Amino acid sequence: MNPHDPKHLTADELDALLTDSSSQLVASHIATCPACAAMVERDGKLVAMLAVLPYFDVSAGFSDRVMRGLAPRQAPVVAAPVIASPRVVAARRRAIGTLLLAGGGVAAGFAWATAHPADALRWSAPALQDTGHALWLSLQTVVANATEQPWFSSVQDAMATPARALFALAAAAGAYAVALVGLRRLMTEPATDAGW
Amino acid sequence: MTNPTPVEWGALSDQEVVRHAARGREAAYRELIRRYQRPVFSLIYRMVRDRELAEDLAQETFIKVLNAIDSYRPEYKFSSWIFKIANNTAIDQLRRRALNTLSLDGSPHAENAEAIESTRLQIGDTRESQLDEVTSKELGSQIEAAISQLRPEYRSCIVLRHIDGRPYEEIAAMLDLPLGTVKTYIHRARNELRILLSETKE
Repeated sequence: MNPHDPKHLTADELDALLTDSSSQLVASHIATCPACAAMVERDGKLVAMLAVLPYFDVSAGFSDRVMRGLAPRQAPVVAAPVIASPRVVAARRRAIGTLLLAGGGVAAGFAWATAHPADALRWSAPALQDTGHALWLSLQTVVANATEQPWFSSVQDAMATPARALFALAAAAGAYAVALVGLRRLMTEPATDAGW
Repeated sequence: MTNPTPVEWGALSDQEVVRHAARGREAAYRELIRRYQRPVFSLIYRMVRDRELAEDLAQETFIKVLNAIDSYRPEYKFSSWIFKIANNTAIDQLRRRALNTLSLDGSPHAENAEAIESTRLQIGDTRESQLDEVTSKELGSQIEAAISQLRPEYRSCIVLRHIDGRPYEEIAAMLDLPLGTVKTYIHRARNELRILLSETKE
């Protein structure tokens, strides 16, 4: 009962009555108190009337308008098929055509040379001789240049014995491998989230 | 997870539909809108009493909820979450528009006891008995009109409690209010409604 007015019901007791969970004490008070009984009856009617108030309907197309207002969700990443541009396709066709033409020419040359070995030898001998001579001269030039370089004596010393040569080759291979790994790290794109 | 047919959507719980929505399924979004468009719109409409505005705010509510669907925590009821956002959206709008509401407790803008007293409506309790005489045909619109005259916080509470049938604890969680405050608001709102309805009839 209300401590300030022991004769009447508190708000909680009134709520309990509305949900049929009131105590026997409250029920007996209602039976003997016309004011509280009237209050409970009016509250009960009001609550019953509120409970049957209908929901209002939204206008047609509401759902579509909401859907249009949503932010586009990030689609899962799917590897897209590589589609070559017309320019790339044309370049590929030209390269394939050139290769076929060159390959066909070489194959035809071999076929003709096989069929006419004497003619082939007669016609190609001077050209082969000139080409071989030119290659030999180039090699001599490269070697002469190398032997005149200041580092040549160091390399010669390093290769003086088979053991030294092996060590030098191993050291060069190791340095090359370290350089490759370092270069690869430098060229790799960092992860976008960097683990944060 | 397969995409349920329209018949199956109805059988799923809110949490299950939300899981589908979080995977970006449009049908799940539409199912959530279908389930909540009427109660959410009705709550907002009863708060702002302007159909066009209420629809815009309901739309805003759904957009907020569905855009943030990934942040929904399934340990809470989806209905509580969406009603909380709907109520906050409506209250924000009322604050922006500074709608003047008529309150029997005095103006919500009154800053001292004297101002509250001077703005309080003087209505005798003897009028309450006339509520009985209001015919049921007129009653719906009269109750709606009376609800619109309550203070916004009373309006939310009375709609959620007696029209939507939400328990006190859920309303307290939705509105971020202590349980006792919610009970007090609802009790006062009922008293005001009874008096307003009696006054309307008279």
